[in-house]
Amino acid sequence: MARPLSVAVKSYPHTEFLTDPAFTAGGRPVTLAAADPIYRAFAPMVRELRYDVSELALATFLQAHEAGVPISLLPVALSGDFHHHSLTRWPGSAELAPAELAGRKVGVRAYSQTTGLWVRGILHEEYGLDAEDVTWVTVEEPHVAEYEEPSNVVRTSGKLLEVLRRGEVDAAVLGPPALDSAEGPLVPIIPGWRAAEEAWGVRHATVPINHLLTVRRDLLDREPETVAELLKAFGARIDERKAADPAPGPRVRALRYGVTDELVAGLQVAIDYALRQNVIRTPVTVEELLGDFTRHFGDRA
Amino acid sequence: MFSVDTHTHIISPDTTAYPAAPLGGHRSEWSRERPADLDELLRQADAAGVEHLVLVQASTVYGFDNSYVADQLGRHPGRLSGVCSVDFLSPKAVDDLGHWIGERGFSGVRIRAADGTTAVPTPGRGLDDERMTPVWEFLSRHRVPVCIQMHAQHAPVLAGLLARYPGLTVVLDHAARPRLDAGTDPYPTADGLPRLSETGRVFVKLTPPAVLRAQREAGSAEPLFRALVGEFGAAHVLWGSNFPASAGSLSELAALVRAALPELGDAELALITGGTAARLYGLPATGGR
Repeated sequence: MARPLSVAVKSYPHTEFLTDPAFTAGGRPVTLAAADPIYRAFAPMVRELRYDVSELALATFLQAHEAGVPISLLPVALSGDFHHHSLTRWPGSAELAPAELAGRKVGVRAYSQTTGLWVRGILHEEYGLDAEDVTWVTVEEPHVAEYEEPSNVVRTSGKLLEVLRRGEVDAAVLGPPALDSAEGPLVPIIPGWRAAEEAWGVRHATVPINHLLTVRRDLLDREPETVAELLKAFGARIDERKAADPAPGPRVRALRYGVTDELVAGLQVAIDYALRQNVIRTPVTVEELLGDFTRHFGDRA
Repeated sequence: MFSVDTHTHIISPDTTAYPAAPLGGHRSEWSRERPADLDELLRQADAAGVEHLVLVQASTVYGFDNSYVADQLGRHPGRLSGVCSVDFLSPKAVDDLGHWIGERGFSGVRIRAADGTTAVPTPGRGLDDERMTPVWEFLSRHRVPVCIQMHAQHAPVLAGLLARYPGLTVVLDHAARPRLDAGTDPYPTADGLPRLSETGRVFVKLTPPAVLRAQREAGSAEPLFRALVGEFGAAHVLWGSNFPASAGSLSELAALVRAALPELGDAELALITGGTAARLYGLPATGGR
């Protein structure tokens, strides 16, 4: 049998098909990498190209692309959500309006964590709060080694929830896994966050993307048909997942594949936010991000 | 007949005096590939028989620094008008407007609420972001026409602003991506809000990007332009070449828009060609070619 494809993706309902030993793409079976949480796979992917195919956070991809890492973006959004609710404070801590975060400390796992990108973008867009006016307290370095953090990013140790509980930060950005596992209800900072999220969605005609599918560029160039089969499989599972949900919430709405208006809008807003926050420093277009994909599949997209 | 091109851009070869600082960091491709300075624009206008030019700040090159256009306005005050860009979200937006309009000779302002040919970030929560209130009040009170780069989907928000600010006068840049299905309002608003055309304070700017989009998506721009002239009336329709952001000579671009116009009487044509713009920007419409 042909050499297996190494694939690092989280276990979602729409990725379960990869655990089926009978599944093959381009005649190749799949070996799933054990990475839990999935972001443990991101640094090995962008630093060593450890996997043939990997889920990757959007902000990490933007930085890897800027650094010239030979990884190609595929138009498959594996996860996403609105993020107004992702900025929270500890229950019982002092009330805080979003604009009052200027001059204060906000925790985020890493400055380049994608949820942080979205939250900082929202704070600027809706409250005029500049990312550089906040001290971002992080517990992890960026996945992309070449990336230099802005000077208002500092590091501390421990788990972010602990940092928030200890009162080392006034508020924290927590990605879906951490937010879901927090004990007790954290208090969202953004007032009326639920309506604000939907308004954001209407304004930008998309739901924020967190993770996408990527592939080593040499694999895409050598075996485009293998990648095409994988894309087809992901697309079918995403269709099934959406069809099974008559009233999909944002996390299901965020799933998508193909170069759709929603995907392009999501990538465009992320680029705008990333440039403003110095998550990336070189202007880039959506077409450039999808350049490898378009080169191979432009006529079928 | 008096001809006014209401949508042109200029780029200076002098990058020291006028450095690039595009909105959102994405400098427009056209400005690299085919920049034109004022002298080139004037040559093109002469060749096309265009008498008056409205210079629209190239915010995808210079952001909110309107210096280059401002400096040129001073050189040819009778032949040029200017539309500036300011940051509507800035706490000093009204001061900025006062500077560019009151002191540097601009006649109007522009805001990009949606992408044109170059992607730009959306401003804040959109056109009704409460931080923009002082700007809308200023524009309404001083009757400064505001060009809005938006899409038809933003029409309900715009209709709300027009209802709230009785002096607000709006020009829809590139015709604002109207709905193309025949028989429907090109810019559907919402229950309880006026149609944009009913306000009498909305002008539609017909440009090559509007022509090309309609051709691409509906096969032809003529039904759309007929519908827009019917809906808004020729006294609320004007044209712009979008030179040099659209590719081609100014003559070619003018002809492209002209060819998409429906059959019109002389009076209506005179309005679209320049009369509407002359009234909007207070120009001495004395031309007579």
